Amino acid sequence: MLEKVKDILGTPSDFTAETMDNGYAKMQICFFPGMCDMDQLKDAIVVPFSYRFDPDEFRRMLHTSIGFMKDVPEDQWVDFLLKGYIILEYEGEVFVFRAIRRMQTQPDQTQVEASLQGPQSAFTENLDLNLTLVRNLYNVPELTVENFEPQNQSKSKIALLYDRTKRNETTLEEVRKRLRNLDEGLLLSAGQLAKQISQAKYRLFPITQITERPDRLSIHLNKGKLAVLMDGSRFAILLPVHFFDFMYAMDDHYEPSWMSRFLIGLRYVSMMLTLLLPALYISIVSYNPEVFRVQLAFTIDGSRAAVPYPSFIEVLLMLFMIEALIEASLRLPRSVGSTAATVGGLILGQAAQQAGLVSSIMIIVTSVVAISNFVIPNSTFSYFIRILKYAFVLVAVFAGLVGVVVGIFMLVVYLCNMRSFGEPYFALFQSKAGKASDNIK
Amino acid sequence: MILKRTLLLCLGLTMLPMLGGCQLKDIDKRYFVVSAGFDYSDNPAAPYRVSLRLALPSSKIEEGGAMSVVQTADAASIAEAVRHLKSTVDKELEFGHCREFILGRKLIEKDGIDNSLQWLSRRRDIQSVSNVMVGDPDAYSVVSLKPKSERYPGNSLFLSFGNEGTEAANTVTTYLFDLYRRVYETGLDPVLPVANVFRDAYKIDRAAVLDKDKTRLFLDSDETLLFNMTAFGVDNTILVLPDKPLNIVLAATHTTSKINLKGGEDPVAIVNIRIEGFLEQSPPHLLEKDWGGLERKMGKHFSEEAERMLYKIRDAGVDPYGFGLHYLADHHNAKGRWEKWKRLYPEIRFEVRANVSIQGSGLIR
Repeated sequence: MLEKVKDILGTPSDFTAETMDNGYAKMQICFFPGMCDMDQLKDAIVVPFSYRFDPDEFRRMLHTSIGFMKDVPEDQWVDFLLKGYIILEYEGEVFVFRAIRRMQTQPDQTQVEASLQGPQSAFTENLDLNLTLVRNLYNVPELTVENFEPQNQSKSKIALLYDRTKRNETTLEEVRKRLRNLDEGLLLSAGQLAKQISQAKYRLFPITQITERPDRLSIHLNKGKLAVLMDGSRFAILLPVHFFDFMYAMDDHYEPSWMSRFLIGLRYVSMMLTLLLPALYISIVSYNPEVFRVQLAFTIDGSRAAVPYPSFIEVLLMLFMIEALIEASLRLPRSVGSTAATVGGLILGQAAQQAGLVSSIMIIVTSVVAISNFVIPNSTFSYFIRILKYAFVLVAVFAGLVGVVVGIFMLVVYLCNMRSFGEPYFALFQSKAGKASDNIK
Repeated sequence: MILKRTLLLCLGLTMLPMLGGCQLKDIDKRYFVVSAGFDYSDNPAAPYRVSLRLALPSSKIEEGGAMSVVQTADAASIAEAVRHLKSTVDKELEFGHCREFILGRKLIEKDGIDNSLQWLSRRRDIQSVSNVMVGDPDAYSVVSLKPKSERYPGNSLFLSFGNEGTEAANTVTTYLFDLYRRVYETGLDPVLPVANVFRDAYKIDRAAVLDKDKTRLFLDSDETLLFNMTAFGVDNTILVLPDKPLNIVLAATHTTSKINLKGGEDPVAIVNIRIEGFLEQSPPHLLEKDWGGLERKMGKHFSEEAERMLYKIRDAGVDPYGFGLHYLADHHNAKGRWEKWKRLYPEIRFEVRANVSIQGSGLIR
């Protein structure tokens, strides 16, 4: 057994392969010490084999204990080893023992989707623990978990969760099919997996939602939808989703109804602002100044008097600055990030206006665009909105206010045409399970 | 493939509005016209004198900081004059914010309103909610005045109308769309406010009543107030009852007015008006003595004044109230109906039923 394994693995220095001899019997054992839980190894194998050895008992233990798997095909030995299993050969029989080192034993704190009053625990990078979290919240016998083991380079386990009585069969079949046919190559995170199963590369909106909150997942399952969990990722993928799901924060379920309604309204207003404001600025300043009140028109006129370039160059300049700033503060280590924001936001904005590069109104527009973008509760969605903004800017440069209106119309048409795993994406009301059409895109 | 085609189609559709032909021109490359005046010059070759007040925007906003220039050009028509003016300035003329149009007194007395109205209603960048007024003695004097109190050029004149700034009771507000309607509507005649310059400010307290083309009658300040109350039901007015030693003044906070037409061959126009308010000025304890009597006295006085004003308007042969429109509306519009009304109108009788209700003396006891 040892030779076969070594043939495939070579002899990595973090690999242990030995023959143990306690004077009565010999046992070959091999494992990756770094990936195994040494306590389990000691309790289950080393102690019975060395200190309290009784051949009959030991044999019985190997054959009956659920920890030991027998008759594992030879070609899978290495896969098991690489996942942190221990392989031993005793009396000519090969056993695989599961002793994976647990990195996480505690649920994580929420980091991306903060909630004031909801549960604070989030998914971890351990699939089993994640399933526990879901089961704790969605404690019904109908909750079904299907395991998938994709044959790619990562071989991370993937679990598909749904409620047996509420799920939609067509959607389920489709998702199963896509999970079986994943790309070869590395699969490192839920986001990557979501990209692979939603298939179309150039959609303008996400059709899967990524969440770190077990409570969001439970609500989602309760609506008869599906969820995909992946080992090694803190995030679950929810599907199918609707446009309006992205504008929900979990707090909306936990706070007084009036407050949550108001906040949802606020988010939609913010979304429209961050999407349209730069475009509106261009079209109003360069095409239709009569839209402003006359006082505002004069103020803008006066503040733009020093600006040498046409309005769209001004807008693109400021948008570039703000995007660069957001990107910088996201990627920098936390200790430096705040400095970047201060330098960029305060000093640059003020100075750009005084230097006559941009008008003072543009500074306000830029800030509103940036702040409104952060109001959108889902980061993936806000990325898409961030990109779409430029499409509107482009239209505004060439066609002014009319173009922006036409653009909005086309966006609505596009959204109405979109499907998320067969369900209409722009549906205002959630369709009941089993109602979705079969035309999966 | 299909996606690419869709994208191309989208792009193509987005480019379509470019065919609209509006060009990209930044706000700082435009000259905002804030008021425009049309006058009648005595030169027969170039009878129209157009004066435009152009705003010079500054980023500083302060009292009296409004800068503007006035440009004038004479031409054979208004449109030509505006074209001439374009060559005297360095930026594009932008009429999008021009909401004050002043027609010189001489122009509407001699030439009439029609030519100016044609130009105003045909241009797409002139808003229909512009205020139109008569400039006395000419439009140029009104356009070229630069009041010291202005924060924005042109703002002062703009705020004089409607209820945005002052709510002066003697200011008639006529919007361009309304003027257009009154010119083309049978049985309804235009009325325009008259603006003149008075000590570095605008004085807009009279009204000019026109037939379909030229002025027929100028109402003085008091008559304009009465007209405003009876025709438009303007709030925040006053009602004066002459008295010794001090007039009794009612501050009317709420006025509603309704016009009825009665009688077939001998029509009577009934103006029902209800005025509510409190006494702003009166001898002490007058109200407690005879509350109802005072209300009746005030109503009677108002009715007499208003009827006098109505007969004056009737005798000038104009109809800014739209009595003719009322007549056409509630009589079967057979042939010759309008001719009949034209025969009847000079003989029409008026009856103003004023219902004055005094809310209180305005005092706190």
